[in-house]
Amino acid sequence: MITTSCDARRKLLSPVLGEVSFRENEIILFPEGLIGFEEHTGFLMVDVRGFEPIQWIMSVDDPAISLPVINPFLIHQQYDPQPTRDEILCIGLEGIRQARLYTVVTVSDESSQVSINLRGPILINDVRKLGKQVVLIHSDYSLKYPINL
Amino acid sequence: MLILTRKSGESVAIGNDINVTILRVNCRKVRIGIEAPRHVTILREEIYKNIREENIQAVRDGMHSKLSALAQHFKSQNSSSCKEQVENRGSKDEETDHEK
Repeated sequence: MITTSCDARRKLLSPVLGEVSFRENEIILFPEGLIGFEEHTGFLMVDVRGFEPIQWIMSVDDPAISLPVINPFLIHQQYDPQPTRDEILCIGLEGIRQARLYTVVTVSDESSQVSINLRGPILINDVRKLGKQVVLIHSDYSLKYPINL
Repeated sequence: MLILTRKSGESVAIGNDINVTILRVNCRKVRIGIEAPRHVTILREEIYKNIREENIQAVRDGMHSKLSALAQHFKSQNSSSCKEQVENRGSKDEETDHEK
């Protein structure tokens, strides 16, 4: 059997997620990083047993940078983000429907309210492993869209 | 910081391809028009700042117990009712105009 370097598994220890094992070809390149974490360009989507459908998007450079994310359509079925054409093109896609979409989940320090950020979704081209967090300028979607548990 | 005084109708050029024009001034608000190449992202600063704060908060949450509660919420809800469909719904920021 021929093993290429892409098949070799690597392990990282995240203070948040524990040991994360992955292949090099699973790394998603965010050329501009995530907003606030612009110096981090390589990320992994990490599943944690028992937490599905939440996933964590974890920096390969610093596994402490791990953000919980979720498919927004599970929460807001009519969600209709409209990034600009250039934003879609720069991750090598032709249309928003080809993108895998995630929204960042946060828990308020004060009220423990869980919310998702519909204003700044993360777009991923799953084939080319390219990603970008966009800011929707032509919409007034909430940064803190509440999820009532 | 470079500080310039401009009147309504006057512009500032930034580099070869960015132009900022003062369109209207009234006592508390200034309306500006920006011409820039399409790849240049132009945002109200507070939006970008707010999204950065959300991301930083998300990192701080780690594996908050509320996230486990959210996962449980979906388990009990049964994913069969969730459809992954986007309907077209035009929404537009009221304060943003695109003028040629």
